[in-house]
Amino acid sequence: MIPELSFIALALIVGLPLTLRLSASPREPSSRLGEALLIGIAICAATLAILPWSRWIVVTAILIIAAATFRPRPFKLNPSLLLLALILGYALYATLAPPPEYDYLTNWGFKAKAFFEVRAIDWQLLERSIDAVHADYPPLLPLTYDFIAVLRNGWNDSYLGFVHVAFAAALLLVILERAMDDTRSRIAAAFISIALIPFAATPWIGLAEGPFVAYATASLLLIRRGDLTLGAILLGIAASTKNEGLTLIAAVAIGLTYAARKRDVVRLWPAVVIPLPWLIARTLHRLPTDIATSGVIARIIERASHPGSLLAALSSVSLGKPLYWIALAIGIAIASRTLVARERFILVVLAVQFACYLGAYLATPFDVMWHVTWSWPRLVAHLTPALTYVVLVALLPTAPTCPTRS
Amino acid sequence: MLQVRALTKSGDVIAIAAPFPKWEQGYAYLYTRALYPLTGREVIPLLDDHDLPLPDNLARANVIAAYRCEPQVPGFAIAWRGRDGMLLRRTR
Repeated sequence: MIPELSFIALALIVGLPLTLRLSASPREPSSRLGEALLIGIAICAATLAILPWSRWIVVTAILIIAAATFRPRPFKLNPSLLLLALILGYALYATLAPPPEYDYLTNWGFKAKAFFEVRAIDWQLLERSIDAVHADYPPLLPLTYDFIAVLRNGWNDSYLGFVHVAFAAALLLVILERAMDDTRSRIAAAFISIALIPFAATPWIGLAEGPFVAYATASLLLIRRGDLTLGAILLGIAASTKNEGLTLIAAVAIGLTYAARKRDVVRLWPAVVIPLPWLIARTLHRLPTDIATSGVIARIIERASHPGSLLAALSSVSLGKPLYWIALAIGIAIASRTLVARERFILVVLAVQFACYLGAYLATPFDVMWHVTWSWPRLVAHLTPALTYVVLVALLPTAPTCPTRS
Repeated sequence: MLQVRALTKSGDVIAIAAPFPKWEQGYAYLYTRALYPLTGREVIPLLDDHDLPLPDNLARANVIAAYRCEPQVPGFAIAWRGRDGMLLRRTR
């Protein structure tokens, strides 16, 4: 477990000074631990894309980056951090066994293990076009697993679940800080954070859902409050975690436009630049993208004109948590005026992203029922944390009008 | 599969043989689950997703990992036999 804990420590060491430089105020280190962990994990993974896969080389590089960006600041321990004790049960669940999910064994974990065998991104493997491997999926999560393997100098998946605990913790810290900012109440912020634990602590250990939910939700909450630079960086990292992040960039641009923040759209440029190297590399290597296989337009037209099969598939898959959905619907009904007035940005982003997911089902080359069955609950999980957050904030009486900070 | 990994080396081309005549009725699951424990080797199927045999893949393989079956393939000899299958290695 030492390499996993060392990885989290290194991510914080490199992420915190960089985050404090990039973020809008407040810049107290303890209030930026969540963003620091998210940024730090991505930096650790990115080092493997450019440096030799040697423990001492990558650790030295991380420490140099940390030292170059470090500025001494007072660090006060925030008692709200005790909230993290509530995810100890999740930590036990995540590390009970090596990740068992099929998509871990054929995609995320498989790629990481295969890359580690050759100590590089194995383009030959990706070019072999094994369907289950999804060669076009972005490499941030496999490289994150590989960073731990490089620290260990060997592959061991026993405690890789710790990565997912780190992502959940990071997102909860971001939510806590945003909620404090929104509600000006520690109790309300703690309540919102605790309510969102089941959404940050995703059940799919080993898959990219948890990391994507963390990056996507954190970026939306930051951009919502005007912390554009850091939000755009996290948005770009989300697009380097799952392909759904690419549509999220477009959704955020549309959301900003609808929220009368057109000038902020240009400031999203880091979100476009960050995933660009992978997009160029995957084009140069001609990695196949299953959704875009030939006949995509014909499939969309056919399914859109006969939506019965898609609707039947969507209605047949249970999303679980019936009490949550009832409560959310009631909450939206009660706070609808506040939501429309204050949260136009988030609502439009989530609606556009939701439409993109439905579009992917229209375009899929696979059987719609099969595709929906194996992905719908995970896709919905991408959207629910941000939606639940804004509904809770809108319902709380202490919530002030939403100021935009730049 | 762990034994197959132990008996093979990086760069080996391993064909997966199984008593499942159809891709969607067991073969796809076995083949894709073999990828993770056998990283570093090239793992190839002997059946495509239309249930058609892939003789070219057999010609490329230098190892056959056979799950719960005992294929007799010219040019291959049994290198190891276990409770759930066997490993055949190309002899010529």
